[in-house]
Amino acid sequence: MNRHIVVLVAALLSAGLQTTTARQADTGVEKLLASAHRKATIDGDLKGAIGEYEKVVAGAGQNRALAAKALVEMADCYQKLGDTEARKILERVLREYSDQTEAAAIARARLGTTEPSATTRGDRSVWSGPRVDGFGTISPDGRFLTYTDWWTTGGLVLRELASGNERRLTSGSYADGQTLYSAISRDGRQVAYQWFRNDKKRYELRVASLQGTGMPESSRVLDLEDAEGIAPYDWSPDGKWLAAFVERADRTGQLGLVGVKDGSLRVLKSVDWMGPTKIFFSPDGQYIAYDLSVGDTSRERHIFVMTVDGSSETAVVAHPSENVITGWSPDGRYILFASDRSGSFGLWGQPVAGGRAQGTPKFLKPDIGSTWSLGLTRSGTMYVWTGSPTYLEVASIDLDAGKIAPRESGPLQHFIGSRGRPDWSADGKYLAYSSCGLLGGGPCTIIVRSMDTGELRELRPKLQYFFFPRWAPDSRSFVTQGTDLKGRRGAYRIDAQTGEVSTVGMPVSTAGMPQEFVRQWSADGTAVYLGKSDDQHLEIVRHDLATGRNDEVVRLARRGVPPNYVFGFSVSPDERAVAIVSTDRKDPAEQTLTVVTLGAAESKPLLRVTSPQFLFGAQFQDPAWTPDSRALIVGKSVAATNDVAELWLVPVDGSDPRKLQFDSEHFVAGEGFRLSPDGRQIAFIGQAGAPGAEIRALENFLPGLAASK
Amino acid sequence: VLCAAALVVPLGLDLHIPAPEANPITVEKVERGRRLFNDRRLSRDRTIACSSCHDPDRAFTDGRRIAVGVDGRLGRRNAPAIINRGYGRAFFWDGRVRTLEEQVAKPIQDVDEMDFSVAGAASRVGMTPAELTHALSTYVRSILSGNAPFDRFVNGESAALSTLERQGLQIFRGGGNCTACHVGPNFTDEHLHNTGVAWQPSGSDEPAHATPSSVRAGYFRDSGDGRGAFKTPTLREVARTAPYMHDGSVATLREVIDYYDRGGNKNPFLDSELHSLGLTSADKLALLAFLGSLSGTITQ
Repeated sequence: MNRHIVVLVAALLSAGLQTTTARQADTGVEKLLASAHRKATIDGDLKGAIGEYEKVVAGAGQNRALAAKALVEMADCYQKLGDTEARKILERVLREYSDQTEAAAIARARLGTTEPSATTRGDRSVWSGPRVDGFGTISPDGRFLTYTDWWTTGGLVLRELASGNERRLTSGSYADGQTLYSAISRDGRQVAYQWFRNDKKRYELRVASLQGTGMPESSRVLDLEDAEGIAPYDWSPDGKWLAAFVERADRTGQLGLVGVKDGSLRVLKSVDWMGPTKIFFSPDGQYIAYDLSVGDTSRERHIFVMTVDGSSETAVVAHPSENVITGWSPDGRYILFASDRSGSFGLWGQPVAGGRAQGTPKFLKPDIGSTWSLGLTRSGTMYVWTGSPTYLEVASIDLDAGKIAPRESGPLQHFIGSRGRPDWSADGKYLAYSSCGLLGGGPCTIIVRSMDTGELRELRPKLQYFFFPRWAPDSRSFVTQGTDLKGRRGAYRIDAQTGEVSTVGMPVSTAGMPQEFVRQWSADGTAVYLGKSDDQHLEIVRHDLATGRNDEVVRLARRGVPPNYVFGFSVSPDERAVAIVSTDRKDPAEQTLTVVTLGAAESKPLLRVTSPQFLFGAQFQDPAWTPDSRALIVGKSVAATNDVAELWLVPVDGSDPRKLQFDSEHFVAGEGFRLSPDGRQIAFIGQAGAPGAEIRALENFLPGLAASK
Repeated sequence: VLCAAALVVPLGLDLHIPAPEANPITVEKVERGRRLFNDRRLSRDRTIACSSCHDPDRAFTDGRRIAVGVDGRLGRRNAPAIINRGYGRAFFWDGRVRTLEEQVAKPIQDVDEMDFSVAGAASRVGMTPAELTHALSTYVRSILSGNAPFDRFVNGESAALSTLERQGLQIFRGGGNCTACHVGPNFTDEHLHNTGVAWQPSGSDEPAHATPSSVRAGYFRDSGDGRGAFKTPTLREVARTAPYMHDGSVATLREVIDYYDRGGNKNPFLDSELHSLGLTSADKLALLAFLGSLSGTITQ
């Protein structure tokens, strides 16, 4: 062979090898960056993340974009830790990586706002507390907000933010129906809202006037027998159309426009079940903007703009990160969105013209702490909903003394986003808990924490949503009620190593909620206990996994109109009794914790509360049995602040229940609590800030757009 | 019925029909594509047009088990109903092509179909190859079926479906497990699934070339994506598009229902969604009635 050819081939091979090696190195570092990002944003392990970011920077080689990104995210971790190292790192980004425009822009913006402060400049809290809800929108003048009153009637309320004065916009109670999403028109005179009619068991779209005082008249705009939900997200500027998201019975989602006058539905685009976070009309009414997930189990979202006649659609933000639409700038020149591309959710603005992206997005505001926009006012103030940060706590519990003592070292782990539903493995060596994203809507993951080493494993089950994963007695899998990627609701088993999902031999439902709801394993792992209900009866059933046989454990008649219902139940560790939290929907409503001795047809009410107090006993908060099956721990709300709970120890022998001594101010009862198998520890979710959530006004970010132009 | 730019979109379909920026939908292109679709000059011997296998009067199918091309050559697969393909994300039974622009060129080039070249065909009709494929694909985007009784029902006209059809809809979404694949306005997930149709248990007729998909227990007569999987077809106009399956091996819709009721042909790569359904005769009748409600108006 010609020597030159040999040399050339060798050189090419060598170059190829070098390229391959470089690619492999890049892939390795990219994986490390993803791991660091996950540690920082999902696990809340900031120090661990910093260590990994350092390795990414050291190993990035020629990949300057990767190194710059890692530095920016590392600075974010330092900033959260209150460490001045953040500033040094950001200065390094500007000094050494000025060619990396996105990272440099973030660094530049952060260097102007890295003062240790809970809120960034121009932000203000306009409403906080346990009743704060984010399903409404802000009025164009910023005076009013609509929200759903989850705590009393389920109805729609208009709140004047300055005075706190409220006006009910719907009548009746949960027995009649409830609202979910609502949107105030651009002239502030009307509100559109989603109304679930209990008699029809489906949502309809209604519009009511906000003029005058008192209870407004409302009119039905759209009622589709075949739709599971119709959510109004925004009004067209001329008030003629509503941008809505329709969930079809086959779990197809549809972005559409609903004619306010005639209820006509123009379906613009059909998408998968995840759908958009929100849809916003452009100020000129010519376009809508929305975000869509890139995959069934991915949190990555991109942002699109579509003409209102459906003739064209353009991706305006397609960055490999979670990008969530928050609105348009009032002049229509920017699409505003929250993105975690800088390590935490910041506010960004993508310049647009003619429905198309113009240049790169501008970084407007770091750490807005939310992706959930309630819209912008005419003057450009954006209102966002934020939940308090939460943490996982494992505390010692002394059942004899009736005391719970949190660890001196503080919470086990801080969280960003929705977390909860802890459960112990049977040997007490692992604690599993769930995460369903910043807003809690999924896709959900399970985190398994080794109590010995602190090591974390994340499982990503292919389920749209799941409730409370319960460890199998052999610790090899979980069982949970959930919904698969095709919208089938039922009981699923999740492999504790791989996250693989399978059914447990019970039928799954493709339409509506199934009548059976799985709750826990039998002690030997051969069966699961599930609740069943129909119009007349409530049943607790033991379902044998091998044979599929159902054995009735408890059968209760439903009483009253509407009938009472079982809120939650828990079978005792010795499987001789079942604790039931039931509700009698009389006025005031009454809740009772009852223990039924199996086989003896004997039931004993142990604790009773009347509204407004209630017992936490729904899916995430079943009463917890002590390991000896002689007592239960149950959450009881503290009146007037329903999100705060006390924990009570309730002996089965009928002796007086005792309130456990426990600083419950930050205990999030709604996310569940579990006793360790030895009964000496209790895992629960705590809230770092005030109970409930907050609506914040983000101001003065739009001038930044002008400055950056 | 609503208008989205150049097209009239019937009830039940999305107003937005995706099209590449380089090939926007225009009325002029639709018309040009329509003429090309019926033009036999696109085949080598000027005997076959697109419409020869995709007959508008048969919901854009040909009624044959396997498509027939130039010189009477038998193709490999059943001619699919090319309706609502503008919403498609994968084309051909094996999903090997990702755009309509690419798809429309293939039958022209296939030796068992039109056996010609795109350049040759374009030259005959006085166009560039790009103009030809753009016009043809734009016309295919304009072939829309909607406004069926089902569409009227889901858009609020409760009486649009009979009691039997509504029962069938419940089975379609419930015990029939049909929505595991036939989902959305176009009744397809655009994904590939092994339903076992191509599976042939081992026997004396096993061909020597039945690899690599073959295993000891049998082989695939057509390996599809390599594992016997084929794309979920739309169910729009399904009552008018017999025979069924990628190989046209099932003559009637009732037989299709029977096939899925027994869980398909077991094979190593059978889709996990397939299992015996236990449908009753009444269920099957209802399902059949419902499938009939998916025939509506075809606009083009």
